[in-house]
Amino acid sequence: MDVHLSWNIADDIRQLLQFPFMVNALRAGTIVAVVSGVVGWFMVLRRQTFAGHTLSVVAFPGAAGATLAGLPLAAGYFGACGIAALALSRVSRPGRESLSSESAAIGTVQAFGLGLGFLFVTLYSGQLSDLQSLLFGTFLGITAAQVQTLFWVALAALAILAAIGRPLLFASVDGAVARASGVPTGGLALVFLLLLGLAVAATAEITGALLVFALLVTPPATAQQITIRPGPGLVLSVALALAVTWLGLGIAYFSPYPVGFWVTSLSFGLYVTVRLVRGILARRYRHDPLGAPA
Amino acid sequence: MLAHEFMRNAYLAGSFVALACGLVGYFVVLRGQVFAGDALSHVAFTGALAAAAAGVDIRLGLFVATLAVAMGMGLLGERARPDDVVIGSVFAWVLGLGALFLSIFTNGSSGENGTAAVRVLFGSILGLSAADARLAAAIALLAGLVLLAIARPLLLGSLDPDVARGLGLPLRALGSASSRCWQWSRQRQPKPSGLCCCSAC
Repeated sequence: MDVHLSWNIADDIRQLLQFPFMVNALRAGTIVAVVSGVVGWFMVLRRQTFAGHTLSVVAFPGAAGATLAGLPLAAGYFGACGIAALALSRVSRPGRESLSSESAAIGTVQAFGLGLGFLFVTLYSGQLSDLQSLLFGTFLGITAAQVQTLFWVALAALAILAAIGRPLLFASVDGAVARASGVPTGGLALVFLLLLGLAVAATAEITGALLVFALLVTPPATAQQITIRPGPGLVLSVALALAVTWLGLGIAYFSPYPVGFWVTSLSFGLYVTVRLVRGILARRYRHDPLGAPA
Repeated sequence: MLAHEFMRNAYLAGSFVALACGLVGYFVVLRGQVFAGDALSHVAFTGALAAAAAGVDIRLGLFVATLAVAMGMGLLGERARPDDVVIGSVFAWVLGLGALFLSIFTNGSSGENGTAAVRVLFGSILGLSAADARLAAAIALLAGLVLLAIARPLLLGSLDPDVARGLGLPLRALGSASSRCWQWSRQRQPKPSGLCCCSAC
């Protein structure tokens, strides 16, 4: 495999696309970036980062358990994330918003999930190198069939989100008013957690349980730093996630370091840059030019 | 059961770590900082892997990484309480760094590649030597003592920050001090009980 980076961009892209595994990785990455850009935007808006993190961590025991039971990995990811989403929706009721008890309950779910994961790995006691791919993903080992499954899952997730988008936005921005005007906030919260679980499970299969977060949190957080309007914010969030994924995959192809590192570093770099620029602008104009109307 | 030395060591380290975690964890839960604590434990993972990749003692990596990030989070956050999006973004990147160090470490030393990551993630409480166990116990005790020393003002600061500020308490200092205690107890923990079991305490 003769891979070298040159100044000829067309040639670089041709090199990038010459292997099917790279094409599949780009396809899967694109799908995952779109879903996590949209779902992540709502997650950041609803301040459910910790819940999202817990779901992504729970994907790991799911995968380990599926390996142990001889089931397909996808079944483990989706099963575990679904169960965890149900469990989380029980502990985090809207209205009873005591932050500390909620985060403690989420943390307990997560600790238990990880304990289970460790148990499964120990019981399996097979190849431990599998563990690394469960945790950090197999970006470059994606098959065309996986891409297809991913596509349908993503389509379903986006369709559900489109259907509940408006009331969900209402409920997320002002839960009390939404509840008062008859929006079923509890049901919405449950559906959203399940969606989050779906997105996390789909992403975890590609990026691994630990790196889901890079796509789910950082691009939406960056987008919300730039604009708080929902429409442009969602578009921007997806665009950032896409850019980060494509660039990360491209750079990783030409460098010896893993995809996960590049994707997370790029998105974190963007986030920090935007925050710094925003801070400087805010100081210069004294009010916040990019955020809420001053 | 106690006839085996490794079991005695495990009990020694485990008891003191549980003591420190119970104390510190109480405040973590009270202050709603479970997510921050969780992020710190992941940071410890990256730190340990970085140390392993660089060929220095794993403990050094754990210590430096958690300390640095705890201070950073304390400084960035309002009253040393960073919000969840900041925590999430920071530690997504830290995990990415972990992936980097893991790949460097794996490529650098053929052989027991995955095992090191597993040990760091899940701990090896049964593989502690007597010296390890005593060190773990001592550090856990120290963290517990520091916490007890600041317990009263910290309790007030956690429950009612406005009143506490009115009384002139150094909230920011307290906040970072408490996260420092937390991560002391934490960065001892990975050795004995593994990162993932921390939140259980």
